[in-house]
Amino acid sequence: MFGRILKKDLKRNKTMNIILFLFVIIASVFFASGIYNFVSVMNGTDYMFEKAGIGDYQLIALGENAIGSFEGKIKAVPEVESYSFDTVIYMSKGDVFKESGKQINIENVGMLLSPERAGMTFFDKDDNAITSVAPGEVYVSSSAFRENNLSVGDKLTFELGDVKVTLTVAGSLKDAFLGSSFFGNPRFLVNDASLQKFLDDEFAFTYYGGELFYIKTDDTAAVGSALSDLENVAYSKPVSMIKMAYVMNLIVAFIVVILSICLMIVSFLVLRFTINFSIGEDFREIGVMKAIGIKDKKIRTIYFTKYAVIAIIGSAIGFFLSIPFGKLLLDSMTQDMILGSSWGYAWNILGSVCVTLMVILFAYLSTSKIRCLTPIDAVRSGQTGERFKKKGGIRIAKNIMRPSWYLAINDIFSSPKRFVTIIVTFSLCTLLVLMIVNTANTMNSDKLVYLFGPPSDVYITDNKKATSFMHADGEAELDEYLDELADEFTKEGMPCTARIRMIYTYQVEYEGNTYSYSFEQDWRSNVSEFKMAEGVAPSNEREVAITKQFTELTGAKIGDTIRIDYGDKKEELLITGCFQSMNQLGKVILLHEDAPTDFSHLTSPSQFMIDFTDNPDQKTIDERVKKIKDLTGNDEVFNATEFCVDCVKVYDIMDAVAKLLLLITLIVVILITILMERSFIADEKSEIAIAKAVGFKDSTVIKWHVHRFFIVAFVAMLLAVGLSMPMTDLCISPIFGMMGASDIDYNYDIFRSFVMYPGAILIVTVVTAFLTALYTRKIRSRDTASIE
Amino acid sequence: MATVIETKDLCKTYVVDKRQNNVLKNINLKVDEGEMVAIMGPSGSGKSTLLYSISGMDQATSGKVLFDGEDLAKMSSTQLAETRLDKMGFIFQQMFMMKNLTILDNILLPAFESKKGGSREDKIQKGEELMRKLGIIEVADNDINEVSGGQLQRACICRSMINSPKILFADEPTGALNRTSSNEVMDELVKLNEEGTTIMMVTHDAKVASRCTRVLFIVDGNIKGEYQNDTSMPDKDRERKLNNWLMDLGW
Repeated sequence: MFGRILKKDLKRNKTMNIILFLFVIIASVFFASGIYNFVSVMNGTDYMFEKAGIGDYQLIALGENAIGSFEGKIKAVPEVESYSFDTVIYMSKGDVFKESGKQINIENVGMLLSPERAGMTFFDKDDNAITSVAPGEVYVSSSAFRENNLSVGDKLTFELGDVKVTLTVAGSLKDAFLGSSFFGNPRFLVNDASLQKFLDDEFAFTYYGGELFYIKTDDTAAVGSALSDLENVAYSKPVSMIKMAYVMNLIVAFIVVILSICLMIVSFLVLRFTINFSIGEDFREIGVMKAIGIKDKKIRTIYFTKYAVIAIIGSAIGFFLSIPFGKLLLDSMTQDMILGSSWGYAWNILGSVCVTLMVILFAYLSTSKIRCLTPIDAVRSGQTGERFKKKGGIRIAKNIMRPSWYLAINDIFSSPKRFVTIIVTFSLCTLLVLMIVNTANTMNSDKLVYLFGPPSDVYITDNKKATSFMHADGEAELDEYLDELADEFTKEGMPCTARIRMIYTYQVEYEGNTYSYSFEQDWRSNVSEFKMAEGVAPSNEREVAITKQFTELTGAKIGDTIRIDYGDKKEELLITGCFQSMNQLGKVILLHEDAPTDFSHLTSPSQFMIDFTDNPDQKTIDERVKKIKDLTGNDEVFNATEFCVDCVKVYDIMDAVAKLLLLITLIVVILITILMERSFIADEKSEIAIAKAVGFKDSTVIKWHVHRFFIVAFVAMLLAVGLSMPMTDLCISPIFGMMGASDIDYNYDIFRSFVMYPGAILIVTVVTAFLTALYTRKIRSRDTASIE
Repeated sequence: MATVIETKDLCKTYVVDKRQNNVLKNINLKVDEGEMVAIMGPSGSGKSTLLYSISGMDQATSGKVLFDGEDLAKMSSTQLAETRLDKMGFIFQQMFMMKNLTILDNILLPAFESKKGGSREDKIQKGEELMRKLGIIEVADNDINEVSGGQLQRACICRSMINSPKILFADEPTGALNRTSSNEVMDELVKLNEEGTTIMMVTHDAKVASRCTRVLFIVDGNIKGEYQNDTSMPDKDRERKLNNWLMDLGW
């Protein structure tokens, strides 16, 4: 008999059951994909590093005869447990061309290697290990693949010394070690025979050959210290440094986590609402069953069975949909990383099971209420709509609203819980979108420029030229080049001075501990132009400024003294200030311009910076940028905003993420609006019919329903807009903090953040509510006759 | 007296499981201004269908329904809604009201939707007057679940009268009420009729029908008989006489 009751119920309450079923599917998709993404991102780089086998410490050897000269030294370090290495041929910009002759942009140094001579594992775009490359083919690092607009089938020519090889692009690769766009070191994975051609060339082998070591150890500090005196080492750091380099990618990944949490909250709210709502619809039935003497336990069993069936089927469908949905989010946001979990889709299954249990729990809690009610209470709480609480206090007699507005507002105040669910859901999703939009806007402005040093008007990236000064006599040559540059531009009607910022690596000692650390020094500009967060800028060569990151590492603070080993002499330097820097992710000390640095310790020079002396406006600067591009034949000439975008690198992804989030938000908003409005129509059928019977037009009823959604969506947008600034600061600043910037002056685009995006969500809500409310036309005044 | 409602060969057919059910068969009737007509008949005879068809709440399958000389079938849904709002009033057996509104707000809602009837203040005043007249002014600010069935039905009458309709349709207005409440509601309806409102109601109750000016007896979708009440007679006699007539028709 209970089977028949259940069957009848599923048929009779078709609309509400379908709505609940759809909500369970949505909740399952959001929850299951949310958990999977959350775990994947939290595993983050550890999972990727382990899968790729890059060890705990990495070292890059380059320079003359670098191949074969490091292995013995590494083997000799007692703390080294094991190691592996890549044999590579270094390539610079100008060594790799497309078929059209266009150079492949290599920001720093590129590397040619083969899987057979690789010490780590590379992965293709689908996260499959690349164990071999077919002859004549090449895989290119994903960031370079993207930035150079490469496609599978494109031809690339590699030319070094007397060797010239043309290969076909087979796809992009994910490189756990240097894959972060922060490095600018693309790798080209080729067949071993192709690599051998370069290794066989004496010039290439001697001057461009190198090795990358992946060392496994429990004591990275000891390994670092033991290897600190090696020459021809371009990079020697523990794996934690690589983790930091992925921070840009992880920003995007963390957004997935926040989105996942939001979606989980949304699914929780809508499920609770729908089940309460759905059981409320069944109260009359429950009352009748109680009245004829069926025990509570049996009544609840009927509803448990119903909700369990809906939950199990809905969650199972949700599970299958959650896999492509979760992948869509992760894939679009982390193109350079391998995110995942050793548990795989077990997390999705767990998420779907959670949803099933949640449905049953909500059903249990909701049905438990009826135990306290008499049968007649249950009947009276049912479809007649009678309740035992006071309604909203708005009186039509005391205001001047039109009936449709009045009914809408009065409904919201009468049943605030159900509308608060919508408000919270909509504002959470919108808030997330706005936070990302604010972050993207900030990244696409000159607000961050001071985090890379005193701002300039124009930045020129010419790595090959800049690194050409990295030798003992480089200083004089650099001065000469900067003069030439300034003279050339001045002659062209752009009076200016030219400068460059240098990063050196020196040993620094504080309280008996020694660290190999990066130092920043402006060449040809005054350190007093640096903005200090605390204290003052160094005023002479015996003073330095530090960052928060240095204080966290060593405990040193303003007023303390540190000892620097310049190579030929050691100096005691006073810390006078603390500044923010995104250079070297904030792990840098600022030197005075007169500090006795020398180019043999130079790690990397920055862009050439041009400061116009005639104070041009932004329009003129932009025109001059174009002119300099033409003069130098270099496309990589930027104004301050473009320079920031180039440095932060993730603006494009962030902007794409903002758009994707807007799309997801719109989908969530559309689904929730449709399902909620259909629930309301089902619940209010009698009221709609009576309104029509007393002479309300279809249009008035539709307006009444649309106004409700307009009001709640508008309130949700106001909340989201109001919270977007403090929440951006609260949630995004720690991520910038990981990059070295703890105090960010955000760039809020009023139109985009506060009008365009919330407006789009509001319009979509209203249009969806309108289209769904058209269903009320099917309810006729004569339906009053068939209302129970 | 002018005719308010006139039907010509009104038919209504429902198709259930491919089987035709002719609920109304060629009904021809006229209701004049100021009349109070009761429609009686056994269950399933088509009383409510007739009421809903002539009030424009349901569409006739064939035939005509003229309201004030205008064919309801030729009106758009908007015109029909406007007609129901301004010229017709409805009372149902179940006291349907908006659950989130107070009694007074429920009564005022059609008034504020209507463009006629003066200012907002006038409408509020009229609503309160109607409530006062029907003796429910003290529950004006109550929720719908805080009043008795009789009070709620009287509130429904107030709502139906708020736009001063030309005709009031009532589908078993006393069906859900006890005898005392039923009498009170009928007193009010008779009073409204005496003041000039045309009323057409469906009822099972001969006592209620005896208070109307005319009774139509419908069986199987046909008007089987028509009875004119003698309003000058005492209530009990009038009721007895009507009962006799009904028994003659097989009631």
